[in-house]
Amino acid sequence: MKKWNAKLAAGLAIIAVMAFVALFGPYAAPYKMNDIRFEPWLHPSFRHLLGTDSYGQDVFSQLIYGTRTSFLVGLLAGLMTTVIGVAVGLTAGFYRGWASDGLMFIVDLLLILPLLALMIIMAAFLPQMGVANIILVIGLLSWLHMARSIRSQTLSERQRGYVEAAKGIGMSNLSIMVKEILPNLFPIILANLVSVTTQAVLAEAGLSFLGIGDPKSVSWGTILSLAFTNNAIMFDAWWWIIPPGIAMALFCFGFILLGNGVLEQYRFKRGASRQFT
Amino acid sequence: MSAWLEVHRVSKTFASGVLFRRSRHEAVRDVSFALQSGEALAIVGQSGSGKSTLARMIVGLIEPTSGEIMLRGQPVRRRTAKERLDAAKRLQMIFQDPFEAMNPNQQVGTLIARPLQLHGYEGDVRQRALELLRKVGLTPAEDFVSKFPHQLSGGQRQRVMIARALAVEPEAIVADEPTSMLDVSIGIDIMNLLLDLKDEFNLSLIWITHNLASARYMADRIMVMKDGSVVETGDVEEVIGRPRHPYTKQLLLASPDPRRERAEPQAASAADSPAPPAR
Amino acid sequence: MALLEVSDLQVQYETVRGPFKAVDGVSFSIRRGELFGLVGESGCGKSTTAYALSRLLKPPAKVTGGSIAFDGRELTALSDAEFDRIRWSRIPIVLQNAMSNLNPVMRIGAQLIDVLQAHRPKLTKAQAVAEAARALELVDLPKEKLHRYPHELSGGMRQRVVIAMALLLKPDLIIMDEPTTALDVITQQGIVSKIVELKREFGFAVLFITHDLPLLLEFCDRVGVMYAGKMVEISSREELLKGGRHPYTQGLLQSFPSLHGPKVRLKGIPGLPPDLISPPQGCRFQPRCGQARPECGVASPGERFDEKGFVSCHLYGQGGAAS
Repeated sequence: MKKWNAKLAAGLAIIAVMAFVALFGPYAAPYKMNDIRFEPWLHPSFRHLLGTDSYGQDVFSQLIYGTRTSFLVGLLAGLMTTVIGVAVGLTAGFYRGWASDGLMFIVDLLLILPLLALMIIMAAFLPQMGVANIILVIGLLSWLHMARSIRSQTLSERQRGYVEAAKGIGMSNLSIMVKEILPNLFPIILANLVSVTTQAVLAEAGLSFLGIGDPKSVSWGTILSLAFTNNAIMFDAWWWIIPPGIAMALFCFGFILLGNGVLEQYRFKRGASRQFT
Repeated sequence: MSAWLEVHRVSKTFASGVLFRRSRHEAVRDVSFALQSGEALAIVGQSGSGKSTLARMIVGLIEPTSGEIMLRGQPVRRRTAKERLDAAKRLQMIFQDPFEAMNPNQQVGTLIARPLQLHGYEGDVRQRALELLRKVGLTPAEDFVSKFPHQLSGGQRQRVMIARALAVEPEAIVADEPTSMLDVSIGIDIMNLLLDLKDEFNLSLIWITHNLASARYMADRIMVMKDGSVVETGDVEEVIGRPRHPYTKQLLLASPDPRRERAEPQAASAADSPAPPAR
Repeated sequence: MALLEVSDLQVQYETVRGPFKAVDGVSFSIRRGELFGLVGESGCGKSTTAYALSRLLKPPAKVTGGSIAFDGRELTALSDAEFDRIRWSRIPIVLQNAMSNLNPVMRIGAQLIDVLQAHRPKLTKAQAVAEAARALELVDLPKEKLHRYPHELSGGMRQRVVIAMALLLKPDLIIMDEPTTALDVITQQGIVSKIVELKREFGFAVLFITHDLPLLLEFCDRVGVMYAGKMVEISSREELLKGGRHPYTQGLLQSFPSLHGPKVRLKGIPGLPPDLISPPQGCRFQPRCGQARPECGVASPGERFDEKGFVSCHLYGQGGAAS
């Protein structure tokens, strides 16, 4: 009986470590966030594990502080996107007719526009860019693909006999959607959740990189942004540029592993339940 | 005195296609019949006869295009959630493919608890579920409660679905070819089970089938359908013993019956199933 | 000499839970021009037998024992190439849902001609067309159907086309696996009558496989009854109309409601078929048999060939009559 699988273990390990850093890192970081009393452009050493940046801040500490922000944004925005995406997708897939088709038409229209551009525009309308607003911006705009995906699956589930049988015993449409269909969408919701969460982290990095992020907070994206604007490349300060990138990649990788691991467990436990569909 | 169920001039037309390429298919044409409380009626027809569509209209899964369906003289309304619940309490359906009708990710216990909770069962739901499983012959009930549909045999699945229908405590059951996907020896068990339950709970039964012999086995009256219309109705022994409509006669001759005296197979019948409607 | 002689056929499947014998020592023979029915419920091995005869078994299934002699030739000894030569010309098979197996993008005529030209390369196009038209005529389909696509025909017509295809090369034996199951009863009767008529005219034998025993009793000469991978009885139509010999056959007959005669409660057969990965000891039907005796749960029943046919049951001991 396989209660554990490699993907789940590895993914969980990575994300757990990152979560730990996100939660407790700031207390254990070697130096305070805005401590700029060090010499700038220092190579990594024992005192500064990842050297210092152009302002004289310890990069390693920056990375740790940044983990909390990026993690938070990624997860919360991912969650918000998932909730909206599932709600829209499920409803649009269940109810047929002009309302559903119309909604999907608008979604398709919005999908044509580049996501980042939309976010920039939305950000421009907000009074100030705090972390909360970043989450909002990403969360409110990233659900389009997911809604399509969920709707697709819902449409297919809706044709199944058990939906008819549920109607037969008198279940309301809402009950059927939530109690009968939604649980069966778990695999696809999970796949999309992983996708939008990793997308959110990268979107946050993108926004910060473009200078639209929150200037007061530290995130992987802001570190990267500052590194580029301060010509870290010219100074060969690889210790400033590469670590945030690796952190993001690691997060995405870990999250994907986790998602796949959970999916494998789910499928394994369900056994051959969907074998003959 | 009005019948318990009255179907009055019910029709169903399916429209498909878009704009200029719409096509219409009249699945059920002007069907009327009545069912008394506690009576068993068999609706017999081949594929395309409209019997399944009619069954779904009776149970409320499809809206008739025209006509009325009345229970105890009152038209059946299913507009609000409460009306739908009330209607479900009167008529329950058993489907042809029990595997399809079961949510693959739900255990048997959940499947049966759902209607109980929905209709406000006041006692211990789990106990009642076990009781129902025993009633349909699935013992030991405790073993079945945690099983998923794919872990059951075809006959067991159908019994679970019957238990689920009973959980609602309906007044009538509409069975849409529930044994056509099962082995015959299992099927006859299911048929006997339904007959027993009908007697025990004084249920009305509508038995939908393409098989005349099973119609005779299950019902008191029979209604023969072809291409959406009713061709003959009557007492089952009457219709089978002295069929009036040529289609009924044709069906009877074509139905294999080992107990009938016959030397050689009859000559090929001229009628063949019609070609599918042009798309 | 029988046209088809199957002796002790064994077909095994490998599954995740272990190997199981879908067909475990089945023997029967079919004479020239005979209508032989093979009946049983799901899991009995009847379709597997048909596939084994036509070498259509898909891995992980394979023939692990026994012999199949067709017109004197041992089929299991033939190479794949040799078998392909006789496959359609001498033992065509009409599969379950064969009507869905017609190529949807080829016209009917083209498919028939395809078959003809594959086996008789010397045929000219014109000759092939004429033969195809003749084949359709045999099954009461008008010549113009040659130009139609499968989806333009009804289910019954498509099944007739497949039968026409089977007749094209004037075979000696046609295997039919549930050819009428998905059709309505009136169409079914038409097809079955047509098969009987054509058999009378051309003299081929038919192995008709189905779960519908009453249907077989309408037109078959002899019927073999299979249960859990074994042949339990082979009897003539008359013998079966009297009720059959093996308790399973009797139970099976008790599962079909009848249109005539008194209306009685049927008993059916209690229980479920056995798990073939670990079959029960002794007779496989014993757990469900109302006439079981102590020896039934211990020893497998032997095989008894007598004037009435074949039966494998302890009630019919070797040489002794049923008690």
